[in-house]
Amino acid sequence: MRAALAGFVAAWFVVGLFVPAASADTGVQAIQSRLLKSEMLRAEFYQEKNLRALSRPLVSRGKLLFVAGEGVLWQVVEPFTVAVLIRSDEVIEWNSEGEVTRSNTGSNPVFRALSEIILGTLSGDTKFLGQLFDLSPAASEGGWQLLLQPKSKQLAAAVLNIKILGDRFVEEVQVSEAKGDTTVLQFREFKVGPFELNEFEKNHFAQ
Amino acid sequence: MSLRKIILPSRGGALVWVLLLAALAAWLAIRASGEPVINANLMAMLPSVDRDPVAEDAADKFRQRFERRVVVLVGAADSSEAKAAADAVHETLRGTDMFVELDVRYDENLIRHAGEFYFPLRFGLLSEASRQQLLAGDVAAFERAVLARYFTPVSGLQSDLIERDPFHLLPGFLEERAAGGSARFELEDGYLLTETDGQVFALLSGVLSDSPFSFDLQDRLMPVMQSLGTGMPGVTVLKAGVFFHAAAGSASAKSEISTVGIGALVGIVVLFIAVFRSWRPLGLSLFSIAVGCLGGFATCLALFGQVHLLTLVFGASLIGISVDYSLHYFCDHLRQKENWLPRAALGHVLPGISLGLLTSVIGFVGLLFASFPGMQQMAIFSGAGLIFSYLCVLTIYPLFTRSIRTSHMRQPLIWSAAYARFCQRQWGPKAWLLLAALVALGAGGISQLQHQDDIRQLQAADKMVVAEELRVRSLVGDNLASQFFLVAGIDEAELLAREEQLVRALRAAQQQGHVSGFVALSEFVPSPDRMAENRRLLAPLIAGEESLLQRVAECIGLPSHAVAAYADAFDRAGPVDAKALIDWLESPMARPYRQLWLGASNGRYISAVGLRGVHQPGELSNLADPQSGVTFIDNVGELSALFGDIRRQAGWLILASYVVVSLLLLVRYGLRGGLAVMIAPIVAATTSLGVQGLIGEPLSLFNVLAVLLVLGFGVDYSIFFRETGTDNPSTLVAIALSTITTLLAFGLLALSSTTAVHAFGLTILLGIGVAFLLSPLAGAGKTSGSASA
Repeated sequence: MRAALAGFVAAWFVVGLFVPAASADTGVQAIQSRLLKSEMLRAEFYQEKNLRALSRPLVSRGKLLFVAGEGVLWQVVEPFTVAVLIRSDEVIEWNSEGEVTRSNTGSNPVFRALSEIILGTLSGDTKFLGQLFDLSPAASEGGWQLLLQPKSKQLAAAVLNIKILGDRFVEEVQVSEAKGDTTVLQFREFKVGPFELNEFEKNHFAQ
Repeated sequence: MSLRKIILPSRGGALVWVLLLAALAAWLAIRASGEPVINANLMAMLPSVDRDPVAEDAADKFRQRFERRVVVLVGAADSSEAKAAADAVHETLRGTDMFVELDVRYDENLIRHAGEFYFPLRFGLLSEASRQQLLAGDVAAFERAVLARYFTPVSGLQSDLIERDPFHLLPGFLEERAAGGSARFELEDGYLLTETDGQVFALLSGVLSDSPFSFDLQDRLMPVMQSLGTGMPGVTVLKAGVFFHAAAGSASAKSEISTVGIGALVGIVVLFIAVFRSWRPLGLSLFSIAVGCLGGFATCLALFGQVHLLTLVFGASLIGISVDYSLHYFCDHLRQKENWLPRAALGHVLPGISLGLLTSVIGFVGLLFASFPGMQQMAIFSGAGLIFSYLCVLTIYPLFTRSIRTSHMRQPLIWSAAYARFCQRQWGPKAWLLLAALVALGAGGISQLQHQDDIRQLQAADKMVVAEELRVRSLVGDNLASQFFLVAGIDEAELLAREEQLVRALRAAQQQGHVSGFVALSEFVPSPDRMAENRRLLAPLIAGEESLLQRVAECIGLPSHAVAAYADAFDRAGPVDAKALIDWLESPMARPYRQLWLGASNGRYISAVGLRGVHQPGELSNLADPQSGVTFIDNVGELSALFGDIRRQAGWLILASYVVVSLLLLVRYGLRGGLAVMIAPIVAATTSLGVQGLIGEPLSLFNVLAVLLVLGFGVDYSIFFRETGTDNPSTLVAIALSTITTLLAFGLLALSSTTAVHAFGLTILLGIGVAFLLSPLAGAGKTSGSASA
């Protein structure tokens, strides 16, 4: 169940937030030192979900804007326009008709969890991942990769592993679920701020 | 003087009296060793709100559960320390054996339970947002929302669920339910954790085994609660619940009882020794005070079954009043030291103290008319206490004072004589001018008075407890408000359907800002009618070649066999059983909400709908509809309104008392004398209220009732003067001493941290001070009257 994954990922993330790792892994430290920290960041994303139940992958692409202390604004452009603003305490969604749905993060922890994993790694804080996952860092062509394998049985029942690839930024996250579904999330065209927000972004952050 | 003959002292009479007292003391001792004799629950003091008994029982049941809940947050530097500390606290609290429920680890299988329960019901579940879209016929909006789930980034999707619930009805419903919960907390190893200000807090919640107002519980649990976290460096413990307010209230009431009691006693001891320089008057007076307290307590216990803590706070001031009769008796000895005979002394003071007792008791009887158990108890306590002390003076004193020797101070007599002469001389234009000035001041102040009827003034709010509770609330979210709805139905199905009607109205009220949230069982278990309706709304979206299901399937690539299987399952799903509610209540996920279920009574099923952040109780009360089983319960509001009514009633009652007492005095003293006696109490009452108006004290029921006592005491002073005249400085000494002890007792009440007790004490303090200073006017009138006659 989706909710089951949501719960696990939320718990996983939350532990990470405030629990420093007991031992600092040198490989992870190296990755951390490679990551560029920024107050504002733009990127383009491409997401591909391969679900066993569906005959073809679900593909979406769009833009992402991160503003430290404000949140992350995801703008899906294809296959239709949807915008999602994820703050620390709420999620706001705008559909193509501009209709707004608000919910607090408790209602959709996956959004927050995954986007904050990305944020965490962006801001150079990968240490927390070690609490629930065995981390296997490795150098790879033009950067690094980090393999996350669940420590607990409960988590392993939902997630097979997560692979993060990157260099100065996180470039790709691959989630393999225990029951065979996979998700690939790629980031490209990074722009590090500070920069002026456009009207659309200003309006959405002002919500 | 037939009165004197009837009750004049005799050894036989004294013996009967002492035996009676001994029997009473023995009864008290037996009674106190059994059931608790003291009650600290504020509700027991308050008038009852007129309500249907079944609803009242249900409301009491819900309130009782609500007030027994305790929340403890244990904070430490990180989650493993917080968990360890929470375990230690849990262990300590469990060891007290005073909790029927105490959780530190919560069910990790919540999601599985929710899945097992809700999955079979999924064809009838709709989130409120989806339901509104479908009710409005806006299928396009519903479609956009369904597709958004498939294409927004980082949303969790699982193959298993897509095939069996392609519209995500179940996650949509569950997410909306979770959104109302405490989203700040995350479950980790079964612990509920939240982070704030660099600390991680683990949540413990419990239900006490007894009323939080039970002294026994408070005495045993409070030291444990206070010791939590000590010896664990870096650990913060935050606690909240009615229990902590109740315990702080009891502690402050106890300390006030001892302050008032000890203060008044010390004053009396010092005064007696200074004035009479003999142990016997002191000993006898203390005895009569003790008898007064015993009598008051026993009478209350016999009539009410329990004595309230606030009665005792108030009753502690009885010490200052009941000593009056002793003072008059012994001050008579100051008048005539040579050849002083107890019988003659009693004859001399008897009319004064009898009339004094009568007017005081009239004052207290006035309190009985206020339909307010707390005030009735205080009136009975004080009235009975005074009668007991009075009888003590009559029966015991003459037997033990035959050979009394006092080497009293000369000064009080000299000062008193001087003050009486001063008043006598000024009994003319100047006195009228002074009285006019006081009345003008009083009237001016009274016009400034703002009334305040909130019943919470009866509860002393401990700043520390409130601050701690606010911190807990900032983490856990708003506590349920004291207002709530009761919903009744002939079966579960009707109950849930009625709740849904109410919930719809509550949503509108929420939009308008009248209430910030609510919690209802029907939000978790929709009624069978609602689920059937949801299915009807969904059916056209699922059946047929052109259906929404087909369009979505094409868009996401859901194979046709999966579509057919889902449509088939939708058609075959049977009707929902009304007993779903009972199944849900028995499942572990219902634990936090079970308190809303009040069960069946008299063939009616009853539940409570809890509210958070009530801003407009008046608007919410309009949502009640007894015809369809919905009652709004707002005890604080209703009782505050009732207090306002009683305050207005009491105002008239007091005017009536003043008239009755005036008539009584007119009969005895004639028109002029009666007025002379009444001037002091009337001016005292006006001045007391006026001064409070000027210094910005609010007017509550308690000030108004205190004015009644100002009448009782003020008239006493004047009567004593009238009876014995200003020629007799010993009367003034007696009055002065009695005023000092009374002021001491009530002045100490004015220091109370309970607003109501403070208001009561302050009014009496000001009123009696003025009444005393003006009391010689009563006597002076008589002297000049008899001189001219």
